[in-house]
Amino acid sequence: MRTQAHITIGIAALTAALLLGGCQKEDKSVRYVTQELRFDLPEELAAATSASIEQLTLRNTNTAEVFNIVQPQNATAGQTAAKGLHVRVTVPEGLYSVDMEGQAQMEGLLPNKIKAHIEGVSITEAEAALGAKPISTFVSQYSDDGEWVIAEIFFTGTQTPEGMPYYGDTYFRIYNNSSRTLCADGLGIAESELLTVEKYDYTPDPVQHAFAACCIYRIPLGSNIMVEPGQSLLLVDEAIDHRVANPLSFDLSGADFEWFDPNGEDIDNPEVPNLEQVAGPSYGAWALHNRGFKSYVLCRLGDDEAHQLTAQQYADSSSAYFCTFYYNFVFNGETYPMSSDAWLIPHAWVIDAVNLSVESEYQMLLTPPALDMGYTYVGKVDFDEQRYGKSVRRKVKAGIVLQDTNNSSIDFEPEQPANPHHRFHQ
Amino acid sequence: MNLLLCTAINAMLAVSPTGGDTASVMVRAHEWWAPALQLSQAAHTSPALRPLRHQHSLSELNLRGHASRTTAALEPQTGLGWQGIAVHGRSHRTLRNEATAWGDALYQSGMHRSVRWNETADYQRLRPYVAADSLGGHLHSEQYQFEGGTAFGLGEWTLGGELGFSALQEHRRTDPRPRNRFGTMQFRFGLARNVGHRYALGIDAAAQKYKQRGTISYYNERGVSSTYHLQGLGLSYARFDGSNTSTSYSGHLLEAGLGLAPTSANGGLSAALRTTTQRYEKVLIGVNDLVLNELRTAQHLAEVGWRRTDGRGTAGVSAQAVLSTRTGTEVLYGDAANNEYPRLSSAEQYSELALQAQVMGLFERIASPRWRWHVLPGACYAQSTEKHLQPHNELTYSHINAQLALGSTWRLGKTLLLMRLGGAYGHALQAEQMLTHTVNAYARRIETERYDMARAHRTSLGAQARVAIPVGATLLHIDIEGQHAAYSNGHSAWDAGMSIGLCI
Repeated sequence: MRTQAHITIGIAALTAALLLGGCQKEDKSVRYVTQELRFDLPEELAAATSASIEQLTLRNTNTAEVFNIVQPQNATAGQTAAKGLHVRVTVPEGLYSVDMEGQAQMEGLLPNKIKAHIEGVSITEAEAALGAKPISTFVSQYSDDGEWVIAEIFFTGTQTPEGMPYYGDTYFRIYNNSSRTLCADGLGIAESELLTVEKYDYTPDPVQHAFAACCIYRIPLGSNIMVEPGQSLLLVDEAIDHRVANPLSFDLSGADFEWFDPNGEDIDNPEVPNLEQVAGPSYGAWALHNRGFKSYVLCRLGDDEAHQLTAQQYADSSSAYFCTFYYNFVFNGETYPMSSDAWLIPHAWVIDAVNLSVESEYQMLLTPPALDMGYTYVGKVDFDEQRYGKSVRRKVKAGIVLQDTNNSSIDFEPEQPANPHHRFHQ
Repeated sequence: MNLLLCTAINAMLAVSPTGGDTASVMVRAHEWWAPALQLSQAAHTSPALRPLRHQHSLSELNLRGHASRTTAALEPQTGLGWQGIAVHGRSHRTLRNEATAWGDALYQSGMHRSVRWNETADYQRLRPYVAADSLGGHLHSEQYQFEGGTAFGLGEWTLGGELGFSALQEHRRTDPRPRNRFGTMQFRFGLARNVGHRYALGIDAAAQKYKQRGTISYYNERGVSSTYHLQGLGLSYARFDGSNTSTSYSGHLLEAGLGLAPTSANGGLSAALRTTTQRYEKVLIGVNDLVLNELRTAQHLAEVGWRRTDGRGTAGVSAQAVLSTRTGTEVLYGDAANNEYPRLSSAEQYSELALQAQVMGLFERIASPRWRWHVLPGACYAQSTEKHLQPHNELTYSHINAQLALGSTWRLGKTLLLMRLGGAYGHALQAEQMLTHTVNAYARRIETERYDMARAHRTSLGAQARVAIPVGATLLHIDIEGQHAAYSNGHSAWDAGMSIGLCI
C-alpha cells in the first residue's frame, strides 16, 4: 500500500513539474528606448544663429507605424544651431526611417527651410547607450521659380490586344517648370546602374557623391532648343507610330527626340532627331526597366549651361566619371563576390531626380534626399501584370507650375494611364 | 496514398476480437454510441487508460458527406463553410492477455469556402502568423490521418503507446494559388496503475513534430496581389509584405497528463489534469530563411466527472476548465545589406488568453427493453482577450452558453432508431475592440467582422437521426444531421451531414 502511495505521489509530482514548466517563459516584452537624435546643419548654415524642428516623424520599418514626435504646433524642440538640433525620442525598439523638417536662420537673413531624411536607423538599447545619433540635414532648395523637371516617365511599355508585352514605346516628358524660356541644349537623361530593390555594401560606394548611371543620353549641344514656360519635350525610345504594330500603343512619330543606339538592334526614324549617346548600356540598345526598379535623373554634364563637357571630354575623364565597384552577394549562406561598372554624374550636375521602385521590393533610394527623398511607382508588387500602359506623372501645383518638392512620393501621381500628349494645363 | 489508406483500414478491420467479446454487434455499437461517452473524455487520453473507455470491441468504417455555410465568421481566416467527403475507419479491440489495440484512419477531401485574409493551412494552430492577401477564395484540401496504439496489462500496471501521422495538402485553382503541405508525427506513451479495485490512475506524455511549407503563385488572372505576413489583429510585418510568397513553419508539441478513470462499467469518479505546450517558428524562405516569428502556446485543462450506470440507466455530470495562452514574438531585424539581415532584438507583441469552463449533465433512462431516452443539459462560459502591444490592438469578448439535447432510442424489430433534438443559446456578455492601426482597409474590415460576430448572441437548433440495421454479422447504419444557427446581428449559419457506416 505504501509503494502504491509513493507511485501516486511520484506521478502527481511529475505532472505538476510539467505543468509548471509549461508556464515559464523568457522576458521578451516590447522595449521602449529613448534615443537622442542630433540633426547637423548643412555647411552653408553652420553659422546659423537659431534653428528649430517643425516636424519630426519616425516610421517603424517593421510595423509601418508612424510616430509624430514633434508636431508643427509645438515646433520648438532644440534651439542650438551650431551644435546641431538635439531631440530625444522614445519609441519601441526597431528599425526606423526618420523625416525632419525645420528651419535655420543666419543673422540678418530670412530663415531657410531645412530637411532630413534617412532610412535604416536602428534604435535599440545598445545603440542608445552609444549617445546621440548624427543625422545630416540639407537646405530645402525647391522654389516657386523652378527649373527643368521630369514631368512623366512611361517605362512599363504597353500590351498588345493578345496580352503580349510590347516594347519600344517608352518615353520621358521633360518640362520647363520655370517662369522663363529655357534652353534645352545638353540636357541629359540618365538611368541608374543600381536598382532601388537591392542593397549591398558597395566598395567604393558609387552613390556617395554622384549618380551612378548605366546609360546617359542628352540633347545635342548646339541644337538651340528653346522651350517656353509650361512647355515640354517628348523624348522617346522609337519615334514611330506604334499603333501600326500595336493598336493599344501610341503614335510617337511626332516626338521631339528619340534615343537611338547605332551599335544595337534599334529602329531609327530619320525624321526625328536623335539624342546624343554619351554612355550606352552594356547590354545593347537602351530599354527602360519595365518593372520600375531604377532611378532617373535630368542632368547636364557640367556645372551650368555654359560649361558643359562634350561626350568625348566626359569619356576621356573616365578616371573621374567612371567607376568599378565591388560587393558580396549572399545566398543560402554562400558569399559570391560581384562587381559592376557605372558612369558617375556628380550630384551638383543633377537638375531633377526621380526614384522608381515597387513597394513590395523597395530597399533604398539611389539619390541623396536633397535630390529626391521618395519614390514613385507603377504596381505595388513585383511583376504586376496590371502595370502595362501606365506611367508616373508629376502633379500640377498651380497653373502651369508642376509640383517639385524633391520628393517623388508626393510630387508624382503613380499608376496613371500613359499619354505622351497629356496636357498638364490648358 | 489512397492505397495506403485502404490497407490501413483493412488491417484494422482484420483485428479479430479474440478477447472473448461475444456481445452482438448491436450491443457493442450501442455502447459506443452511448451519450455517456461524451462525459469526461479527457480522463481517458492516456493510452494506458484507453482500454477503460470502451467495454466492447468494435470496428467501424464510415463514409460521410458534410457541408456547412455561414454568412459571417468570428474567424474569417477559416472560411465561410466547408463541403467535402470523408472516409473514416476506426477499430478498438480487446485482445488476449489483457491487451487492447486500436487504430484510426481518415481520408478527407473537400473545400473550404471563401477563406479570407489567410493563405496558410492549419490556421488555428499557427494563428496569427499566417501569410495572407486581400483576394482569398475557396481552398481545396486533402487530408490523411493515421493513428494506432496498443495497451497491455502487467499485473496492477498497464502500459500503452500510440503512434500517429497526419498530412494535409491544400491548394486553390485560381489566383492567388497557395499550395500548402503540412505533416505531423506524434508519439504518446502512457502508464497506469490500478488504485484499489475501482479506479486506475495513469500518466501520459506525448510529443509531436510539425512541419508546413507553403507557396503562393499567380497565373495573373486578376493581377498580382501583395502577400501580407500577419502579426494578428489586422497588423502585418510591413517590411516583408509584398512578394515574399514562400513560407515554412516548423515546431513541436509536448503534452503531459494525469488521469483517473473508473475501472467498472458502472462508472464512478473520473478526473484529468492535462497540459500542452507548443512552439513554432515562421520562416521566410525567399529571404535567406529569415525567422520572422516565434509562437508559443500553452493549454492547461482540468476535468472532473461522475457517472453511475445501472440497469435503469445512466446519470452523470462532468465539469471542465481549459486555460489557454498564446504568445507571439516578432523578430526585429536591422538595416540589411548583401541580403543579410542583422538581428536587432525580438519583441513579444502578440498575446491571447482564453478561458473556457463548461459543465455537462446526463440523465438516461431505460424505459423498456425497446426504448430508452436521455437528456443532456449543459452550460459553458468562454472568454478571450487577444492583444497586440505596439501598435495597440485588442479584442476581448466573453460568452455564456446554455444547451439542452433530448434523445431517444427505439428498437423496432432488429432495427435500431436513434433521434436527438437539441437547442442552444449563446449570450454575448461583453465584447470590446480597440484598433489603433491596421495594415490596410481590408484588414480593418476583417477585424470589424470578427468584433461584430463576437458581440452577437447566437441561437441554434439541431437534429440528428440514425437508423442501424444488422446485416449478417455487421451493422449497417445511416446517419443524417442538421443544424441551423441565427445570430442577433442578422447573420446565420447552417450545417448538414449524412453518412453511411458499417460496424463489425
